Order: sequence, then structure tokens, then C-alpha cells
Amino acid sequence: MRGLLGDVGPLAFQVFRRNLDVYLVTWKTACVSLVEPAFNFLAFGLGLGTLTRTVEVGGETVSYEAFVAPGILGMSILFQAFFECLYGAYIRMYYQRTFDAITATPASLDDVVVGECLWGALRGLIGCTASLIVVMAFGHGRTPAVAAVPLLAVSGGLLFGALGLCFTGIVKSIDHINYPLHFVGVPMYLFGGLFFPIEVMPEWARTLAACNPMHYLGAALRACFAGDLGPRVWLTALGLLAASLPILALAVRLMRRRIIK
Amino acid sequence: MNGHAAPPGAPPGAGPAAASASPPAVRIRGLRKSYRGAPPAVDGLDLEVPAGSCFGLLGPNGAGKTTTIRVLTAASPRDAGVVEVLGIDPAVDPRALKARIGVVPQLDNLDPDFRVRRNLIVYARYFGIPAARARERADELLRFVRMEDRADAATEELSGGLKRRLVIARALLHEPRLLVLDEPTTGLDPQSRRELWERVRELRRRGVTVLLTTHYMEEAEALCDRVAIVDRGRILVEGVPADLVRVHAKREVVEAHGVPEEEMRALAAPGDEVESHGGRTALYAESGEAAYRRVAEAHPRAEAILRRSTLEDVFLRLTGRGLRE
Repeated sequence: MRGLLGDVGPLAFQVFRRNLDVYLVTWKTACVSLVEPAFNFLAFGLGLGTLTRTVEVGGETVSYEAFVAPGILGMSILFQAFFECLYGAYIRMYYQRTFDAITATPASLDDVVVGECLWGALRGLIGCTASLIVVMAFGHGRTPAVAAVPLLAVSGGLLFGALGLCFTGIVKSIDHINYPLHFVGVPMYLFGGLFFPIEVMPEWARTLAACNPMHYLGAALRACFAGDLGPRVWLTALGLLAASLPILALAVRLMRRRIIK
Repeated sequence: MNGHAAPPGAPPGAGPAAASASPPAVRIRGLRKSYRGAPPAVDGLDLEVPAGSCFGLLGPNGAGKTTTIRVLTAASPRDAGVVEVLGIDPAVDPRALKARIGVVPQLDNLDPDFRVRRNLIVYARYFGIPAARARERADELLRFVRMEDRADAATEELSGGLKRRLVIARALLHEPRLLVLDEPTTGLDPQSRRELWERVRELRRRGVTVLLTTHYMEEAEALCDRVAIVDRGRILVEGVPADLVRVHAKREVVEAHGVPEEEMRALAAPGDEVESHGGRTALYAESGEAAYRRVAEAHPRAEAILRRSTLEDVFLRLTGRGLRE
């Protein structure tokens, strides 16, 4: 099958499965990263929330804690998927030479890249689910509409994972990973309307936010939490999915250029 | 295929004797390959590896050995030339080719997070081996590389020699007809090296074609039916090790240190050949006895020795004009 994503076949799933197996072997250390959403919620929701009691969003006034709860989910999706496909994939590619080992079998490099992206999406889902459990424990998002959250987590995770893999394909060394992490990852969540409504920002910043996928993901998560399963949720999931395809195709090309000499 | 408990399978009777009739396992004609902005790494290389043989690719660092291996294992594209491995062009059907060959890379790339046996079981999935069969194969192969008692050991804690053996076991999961090893014994102690040679011999007896690169000439002499010496991206000579020694390094060598080439030449008989490499001067002769006595007499402090010629002499004569790189 030679399409948009290159020479990708069913072995991409085995690459995904290998990463999942490693995660299950090292689950104790992997779980530590899930403590993060709890800290985030405590800091932003309960800490910052005491200063900023209410937020006006879409004409409605809600408590800051309720405002930030879906934002914690968005942050987890971005960080788990982006970081896994950037830092984790780089370690597998460069230090462990796992990609070399796998491409010596019938699997292609394109299978490896797509498998890595699928795995990034699952990491996004795992992180999002952990965050959801935390904020639900505090009484947020207790509505049937949160059933759509996993769909958003996976489509967002694919997009952020594909973006991470693009940078894995071009960073010079592990130290250079700081650039995409801080110039792309961090602004995406800080200015994605997760912690404050983007409307309070100046005009130019709002225009910039329109190009930020997190802006749409955050809004859709917020809609789920408000019990609104309207077209916004479905269109966002579809849009993220559609956007992740060309980005993943780019990641495949960049990785080929890097590895196939 | 399930007849014998131990290792990799090849159809019975496909041993070295039956090999001469079958088409070569590897056939390369006029291979050219250069990396961006560098002189060609492989520059018109021709190579034929007979099916069922153990073939050694020798050459100094940067000679083009690894590049050749990368091209024929479908890891790198080529610029020009004909390449057929088990009848398959790696550029045309890499998946089919990689399903039939086993690759042992220069640097170990085991999964550090999995234990020994798990490394094999997970890897078997990329070959589409069903889980039950993969477990069987893993146990067979751990016995084959004599690591059955390490099945549950942490991969990271294995010694270099054991890691290498595990990589070899992993390359045999799918019962490849061709095993390609890139410097399989570099960095191993003599015991591990010999243990590994024994495994390679066993594979060859079972009819698996083995293609390896090495910097150790005694390894090539011990293992290989045929060798090719590569330099600057081309094959310099190819043949049975003993024949190459006879043709290119006579039968015996008188070796002395600190004796200038001209003085050595003065002591040589007609037909003898003299060459020096980095402080060591060698005189190649069909019979070195007389020359040895003359050298020892004329240069008592040169610590002259007389010995049989080896493949290393051939290698140094053909490729050794000073240090490389």
C-alpha cells in the first residue's frame, strides 16, 4: 500500500504493540507521569482558582475550577503524545537503535513512523483518562457527554504525535529537542485557551490562536464538560484527524530523509 | 522443519555439497553508492556469494563493506548496479527480501526493556510468526545459542558476548536462508569469539548461507569458504583463503623490525618479494629458511622470525599502504 503515508502496512500495528508492551513492563515508572495532571489541577484549579473565582466564557459565567478542568485534559493529551513522539521516539531511534532493529524485518520505516504515531495517540488517551479521573473526583465533567472525550483525546493525540515525529525527524541531537518542546509544545497549551479564555488576549494573539489546534481541542473538551455533544465536538474530532494525516505524511518523509542514507 | 529440536531450518540436503548447482545467494554487478557530498563509498563492486557457503567480506575501515551490506539487506538504496539477493532485488521488494534474510548489525540493538526471551517473542511478530510458534522458536534458539538458562535475564545486564548471541538468535527466528553478520565478533573476548564461530559453522552445516564482514583475518580463515578483500569500494581479490595466500603471499614470511626495505631486498633470493608496513619489513618466499638465516645473521637485533604466510599478509599487501583515514 503506497499512499499518502508511504509504504505502510499492518506491521505498523506491531510497532505500536511493541511500545505498549514496553509501557506495560515499565508501568510503575510510566504511572509517575500520570501524577502530573493531579498536580496541575491542584495548582491551577484549586490554587489559582481562589484568586480568580469566576470566568466568563461564551456569555456564561463559570467557576474558574470548572473552566480549567477540561483544560487539564487538553494539556495531558498534548504533553503525553507530543513528548512521547519527540523524546521517547528519539531515544528509540538514536540510543536504542530500535528503528534499525525493526526495519531489518519485513517492517518498513514508514510502518515504524505510523506505529509510533498510533502509540503517541494512545499515550494521549491514557494521560487524558487519568486527568479525567482526577477532575471527576473533584466533581467536574460528571455528564454523559464526557463519553466523547476519548475520541477527542485520540484525534488530538494523533495530531500532536505526528507533530512530535516531524521534529524527531529534524532535530540535530537530544539537546535540540528543547526547541520544539518550548517553542511549539509549551505555547500551544499556554495560549490554547486552556487556562484563560483566548478572548482576553489582543487581536493578533487571537488570530494566532486560530492556527493552534489546541484552541479547538480545548473548546471541544469544554463543550463535552458542559454536556453539549453538538457538532462542535464531532467537527473538532474530524478536523484534528484530517489535519493529522498530512502532518504524519510529512513526518514519514522527514524520517526517511534522516534515516535512509 | 520441526524435525530437529535445535536450530534454524533449511531443507534437509541443502548443505554445501548441494550448493554449487543452485544459483548464488547474492549476486552484485557494478554496484555504486555514494553518500551526499562524499566520494563514492562503493564504486563498481562485483560480488557473488555461492548458496550454502560462508563468505567473508574483508577490508580496511571505510572500504565499503558496511555500505555493501546495507544495500543488499535493503537498508540503503543504491545509485547503480544490479543486486540480487536470493533472487530478489532489494530495491524492488524489500519486504519479501527481509522476510528471507537474517541481519546481525554491527551494533547491538536489542530491546533493553524486555527480558531475554521476550526480546525474541516480540521480534517474531514483525515476521508474522504466530505467538505459540514464536515461543517454541524462542526456546529452540536460546538452546542453540546456549542461553536457555538466561531466558529470564535482564537484557541490559548481559555481557557483550551474550548480547551478540541473542542478536544472532533473533536474526534466526524466521529461519532465514541467508544470514548477514556485520563485524559479529568485534569487541568480544577470545572465548566468546570462538563460541560464536561454532554457531556460525553449525548454521553453515545446516545449509544456511552466511555472509560476514570482519577485521580479523584469523576469523576469516577459520570460518570462510571464500573471502573477498574490498578497498576503496571495489573488490581487490576474491577466492578461497588458502589460494589467496598462496598467490599473494607465497608460502612463508620472514619478518623483521627496523630493517630497511632495500637491505632486506639485498638478502632476498630471486622470486622472493619484500614489503614493509609500519616498521615491520616482510620477505615473502616459497621457502624462507635460507632467507631467514641470512636476515638473522645480518641483523641480529631485528628479532627476525620465520612463519607461515596468512591471510593477514595478503590483506596487508593488498590494502596496507600506511594508516587509513
